[in-house]
Amino acid sequence: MTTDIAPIRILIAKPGLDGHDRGAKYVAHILRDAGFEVIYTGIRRSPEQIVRAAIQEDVRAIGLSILSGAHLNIMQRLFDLLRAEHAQDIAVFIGGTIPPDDIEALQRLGVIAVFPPGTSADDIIRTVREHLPPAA
Amino acid sequence: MNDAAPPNPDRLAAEHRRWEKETLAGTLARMTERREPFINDSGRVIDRLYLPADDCPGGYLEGLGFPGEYPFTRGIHASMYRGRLWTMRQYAGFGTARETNRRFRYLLEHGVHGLSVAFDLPTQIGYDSDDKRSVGEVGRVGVAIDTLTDLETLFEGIPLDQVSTSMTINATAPILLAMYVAAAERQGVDPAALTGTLQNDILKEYIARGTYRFPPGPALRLTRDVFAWCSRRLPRFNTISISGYHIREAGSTAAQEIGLTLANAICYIENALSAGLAIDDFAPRLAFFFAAHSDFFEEIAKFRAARRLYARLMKQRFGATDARSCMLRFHTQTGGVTLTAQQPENNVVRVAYQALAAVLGGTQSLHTNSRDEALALPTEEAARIAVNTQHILAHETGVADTIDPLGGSYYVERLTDDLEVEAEGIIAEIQRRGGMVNAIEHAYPQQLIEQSAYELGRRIDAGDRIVVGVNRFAANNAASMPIFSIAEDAAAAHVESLRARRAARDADVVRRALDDLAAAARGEENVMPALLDAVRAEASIGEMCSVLSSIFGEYEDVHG
Amino acid sequence: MMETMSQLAAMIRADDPARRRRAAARLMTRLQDRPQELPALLRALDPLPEPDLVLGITGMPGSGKSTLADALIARWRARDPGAPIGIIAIDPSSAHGGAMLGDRIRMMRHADDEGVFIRSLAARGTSGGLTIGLQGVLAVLRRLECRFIIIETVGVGQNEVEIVRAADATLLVLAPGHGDAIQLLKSGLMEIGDLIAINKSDRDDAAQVHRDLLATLSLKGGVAGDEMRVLLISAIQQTGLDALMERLDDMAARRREGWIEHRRSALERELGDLIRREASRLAQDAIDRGGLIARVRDGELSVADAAELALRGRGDEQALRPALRNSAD
Repeated sequence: MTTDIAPIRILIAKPGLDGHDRGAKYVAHILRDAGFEVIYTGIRRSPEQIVRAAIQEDVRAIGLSILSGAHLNIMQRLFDLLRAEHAQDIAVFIGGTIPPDDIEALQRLGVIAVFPPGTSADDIIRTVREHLPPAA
Repeated sequence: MNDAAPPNPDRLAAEHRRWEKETLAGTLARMTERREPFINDSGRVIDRLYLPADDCPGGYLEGLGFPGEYPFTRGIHASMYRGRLWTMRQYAGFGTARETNRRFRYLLEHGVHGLSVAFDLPTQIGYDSDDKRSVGEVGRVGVAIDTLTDLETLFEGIPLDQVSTSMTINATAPILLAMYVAAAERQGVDPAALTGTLQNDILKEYIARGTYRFPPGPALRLTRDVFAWCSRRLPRFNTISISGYHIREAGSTAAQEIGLTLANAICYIENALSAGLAIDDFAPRLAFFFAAHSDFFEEIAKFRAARRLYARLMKQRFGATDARSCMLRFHTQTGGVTLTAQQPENNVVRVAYQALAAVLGGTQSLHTNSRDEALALPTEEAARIAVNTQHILAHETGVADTIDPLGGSYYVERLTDDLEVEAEGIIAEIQRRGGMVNAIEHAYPQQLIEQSAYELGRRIDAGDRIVVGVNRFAANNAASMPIFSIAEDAAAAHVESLRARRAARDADVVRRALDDLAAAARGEENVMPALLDAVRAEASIGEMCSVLSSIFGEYEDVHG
Repeated sequence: MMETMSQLAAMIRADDPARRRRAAARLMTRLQDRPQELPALLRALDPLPEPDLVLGITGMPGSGKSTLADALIARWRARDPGAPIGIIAIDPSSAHGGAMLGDRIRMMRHADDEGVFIRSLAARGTSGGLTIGLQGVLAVLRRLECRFIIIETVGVGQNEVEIVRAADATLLVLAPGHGDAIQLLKSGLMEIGDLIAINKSDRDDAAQVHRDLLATLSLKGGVAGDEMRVLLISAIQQTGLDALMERLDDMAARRREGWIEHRRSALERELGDLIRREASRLAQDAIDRGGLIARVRDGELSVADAAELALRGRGDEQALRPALRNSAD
């Protein structure tokens, strides 16, 4: 280890049926390059699976790549589950093409930030770091 | 000047060195080059200057040949676009069968002869519209089809013997095909008269697109069944469109796009041969689908390399004797991932250059993206610009008036040779790893793509690869954001109608048909007849796929 | 939300399973980040239930070890739905300190099973105290009443030897067609692997790998019954798995006492390591403060004298002066 600060653990997943995981994989890689420990759980994940994994891995953040018309539905369920698991402090970020009207709704649900296509790696890393809950 | 013999290689090399020392050096001293080195999107280093090759493999006659003759490097038809322009085939498809039917009839009234159907994700994967996994996905990226009634509605009033239909469907292709044939029969049309294309390329789903259902073994069996059945019943139907487009969109290089696609082709061909089909019986019906990305000359060379490599493969590896078996027929779509949400008007320009590359590369058919393709259902204006891009190309630029105009360019020929060698290397590596199915199970192609995507992403993030409007020339623009306009009520109404249809069926007939389907799947016989009976009984796609997955299993991507 | 060790220890015994899970996961993080807290954790979680089996699984990438682990989990769960299972999946860290932890993906069929707890760990470099942290994570899984625990890692090198030392028994997985067999035969794991599974046994070249393996085992002067160590399986086709399960059950029954003792001594070994690490840190402090390296280099002090001074550490700062004068004379 080159640093005394423990690496930040983050979970990356794709809910919904869409299988285009290029963006999710790329973000997973750049986070790893930036020193994060990335638990990458792949495509077609249900909110239940995502939350269970997030709890077991005790991640400080969850990054979801979403291309689904059900994003509001999915995120509502996700936050309900996080609350039920006493894990509402986990920071949640979304990447993908989300209609502008829905971005506000998502933020009201608890999403910290929505990264549109073309967001740079540096911006993602910085935003995530700035909004993490305190370490255990 | 043009008739002069190529210079003696030693003399040329000497002169090249002289030029570098005497002329170039001075210029470089005054002005360094813009980049060091120049790397393209595929990670290829691009030289300053390309000279006549002293070792063009095989020379003109063997390496290039004439259009319409083996190895087809310069084009698969003798007159190419002078005889007939490429097909301008634009996709459409959204929402409910009823809405899509309206759009189809509009297009047909306006002179289009080919229809292209996109299906929603639940239909592509085999879930009914009321499945809990389908929430939010019904009718979103294409039309929702649950039962034969939906498909009949989709083509209501459209005589299926008079149109050519292309269906972008893979894991559930046999089911949609069965529905299409049953719908045709109900119209009184003989299946033998049907023309069209099924994408039906399951291997690329595991590699790049993610819309798989069953594991590779059973999936290839289904592909084989479709091939065999269509070769007897639907001789004019293209039963597969072996696709590199999605592989490229997932981040592969140009060489990987064609190498992996042809490696998939080898797998499908071996699969069909093992079913007892003769190569020249089905090979002429194989079709391909590639992307046209932004590196202009590499894309042109890519198409030429693919043609030559495919022709050699078919002749040498599979012993094809029919010339048509060696012709790489392909459709091209301009690269979706190259479009930006920022300053979408720039996308019109990108698409134009990409379309030009596809045409100079000799494509048989072309789809040009609308400027906001990824963000919204294209407006009429955006769709019209996309089509006019092709018309201007065809009628105003003159590039279609001669065949393979870039043939003989030192750069393009060198790129063609290099790409062929690289792609061949990828094919050889896949064979060394025990074939494509084995390679997929060990995530080899997936890892190749992931690595290429990562490297390109890094170059873009570092600003080495400029994306106009995004990391340069951004001009304070906000990203144009999507405006999805799918009526939620339409999805709900569709689910209601599905439930009503289920209730109205004869449950015994359905159950018997599903049992017969299970028996066929468990055995060795072709599943298409059993599927036809099941769709006629109004079994739903979810029911049929549940039966199949209980026997075949479900594919789980264990590599991420 | 920085809970104390005792708060977490209380939470892990709560009635609410959600609180228990959260506490367990947080304790695991804590122990990997701060391995020096291992003694406090052990006291807080005492007494720790004894699982039936802690199984180490390793092999080269592509050997199918994860598919095999997944198959074992499925069988254990089917056999006894009331017995929780724990899996610790260890992956290497990259040079920059980050890691891609992708093993969960291979076990997604258990993603909806409440009785399966999967934890991914990054190795975090050799000085990161992985094996100490691993004992902490193991302790937490035991506290969760896990009956079977898998420690899964990748590779057959020295690092893996150290990792699987924490397990009761080790299963090495190799597959034909990768040159795995050769790697394995050269590795230190051959000696400590209790069972060797040749996966993908349906392949034509599997038989050759089997022969090569047996030949090498006998060359190494193997114990009679070495042949019995080797099993042919196919995780995907589900063949040979019953035999493997039987073998594991048999080992678990016969060696239970020994394993309980082994777990205790493994913990003690890590505690010893903790003490040594702390001692080393203190000694380094003293070396820095006393400028001992320069003094050894200049011949003022012998190495032995410097070591003694270093060991005396903080409290002997004053005493350093007189001792030094003595040895400088």
